[in-house]
Parts: sequence; structure tokens; C-alpha cells
Amino acid sequence: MNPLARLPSSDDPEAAFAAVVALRRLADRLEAAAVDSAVERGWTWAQIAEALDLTRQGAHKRHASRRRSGGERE
Amino acid sequence: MSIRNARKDVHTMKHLVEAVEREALADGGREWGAEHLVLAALALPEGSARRAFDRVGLDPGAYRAAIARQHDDALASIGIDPESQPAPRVDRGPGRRLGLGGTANGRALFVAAGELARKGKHPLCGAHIVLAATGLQLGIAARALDAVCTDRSALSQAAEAEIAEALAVR
Repeated sequence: MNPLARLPSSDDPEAAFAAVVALRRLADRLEAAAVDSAVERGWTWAQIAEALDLTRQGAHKRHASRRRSGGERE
Repeated sequence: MSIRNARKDVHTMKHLVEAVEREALADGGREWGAEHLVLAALALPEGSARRAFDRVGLDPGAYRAAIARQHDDALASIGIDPESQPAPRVDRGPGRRLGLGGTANGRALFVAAGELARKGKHPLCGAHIVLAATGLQLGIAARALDAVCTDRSALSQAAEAEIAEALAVR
């Protein structure tokens, strides 16, 4: 399916923006799940950062405290 | 602000900050939004936000469900099965602050609630957040509120009544 065919109608900006916000939230969830999985498989923060196109510091800042708060292994 | 009010504010803020971060993390986000702030207000031990909801027959659980439904419906509208998204890890107990940032709407709601408290010379309570939330027009928190609340002015009056009651027992 062409995903563009399912974009909300441009005459309903509020619905379109709601979709954008929901996609951001989905991307956050996907990123968190992928990082957790990678760390559990022994990836380093340097590898995770490179794969996410972030600096090592940026990747660590985005995910390390979240993981610690949930008791996940660092 | 009196020292007593300041102490109450600090106490409320501590609970609020912990709860809002817990809500954001449980939602799988990296920032807290206005919807997380409303949920955090509803969970405050002083109970004024929850009582304001009660006064107009609103269920905090229904508001939480409405937030999730907004996201699910928005994803479904562009052909994404909401069931396909990974569930966030939700085993977040009370703990130290993580220092999560707030979204623009979340921060604006917090500032608006603080202004209401300052204007009334009253320590910040959950009902101030509910009262400020009744003024939200767009975004997830507003859409979820519209989904469960058909009369915002009644909710606004209920929040004002709770604030007045809290003032009377001070």
C-alpha cells in the first residue's frame, strides 16, 4: 500500500497533526525498544549511537537514565 | 508567597515531578506532555484534582484511556495498526528524578497552573492544573479531555470549587 494514500485529509489539519504526534510517540517507543534489545545483546553505547546517527553522549543521555529507572542492566 | 504556601508548593512539586516523569516513561515518551501533567495531578495525594473530576462524574481512568485512544485512532487513520507498536516497559516505581524535559504544551500548562495559584495566593494544587487544562484547545491532552468531558465549564467550576475549599480549610 502506498502510505501516502492514507495520509489524513489536508482539510483536517487537527487530525493530521494528531497523526504526526502519534508517529513521534511510536518512533520513541521503537527507539527505546531497539536500544534495550541492543544493550541486552551486548552492543556498546558507541555502536548504538552510530546506528541511530547520534553522538555517543546524545544516545547515552536519551536512554541511559530511562534504562536505569526501570532497573535494566547497563 | 507565605513560607507555609512555599512548603506546600515544594511538597506538591515533589509528588508532581515524580508522577509526571512516571507517566511519561510509562507512555514510552522521552518528554512529559500536558496529558501526563493532568494524570500526575489526578494522582496527587492531596486529591483536589481527583475530587474536581468526581464533582462532574469524570473518571480519571477514562481520561487515561482516552489519551491512549487518541494515539491509537491517529495511527489507525494513517494505516498503522496500533497493536503493532512495542509496549513500553512500565515497571517504574517512585524514585529519583530523571530530569525529563516537558513538551511545549506540557510546560505551558504547568506555567498556567502556577499563575492561577499565584494569582489566588494559594499553594499549587492539582485542581489548579485541572482548571488550567480546561483552557487547552489543541493537542492530545485537549482531545482526550473533549472525548470524556462534554461540559468544560462545569469541570472548570468544579476545579474552582475545589481550590476555594482548599483555601477555606487552610
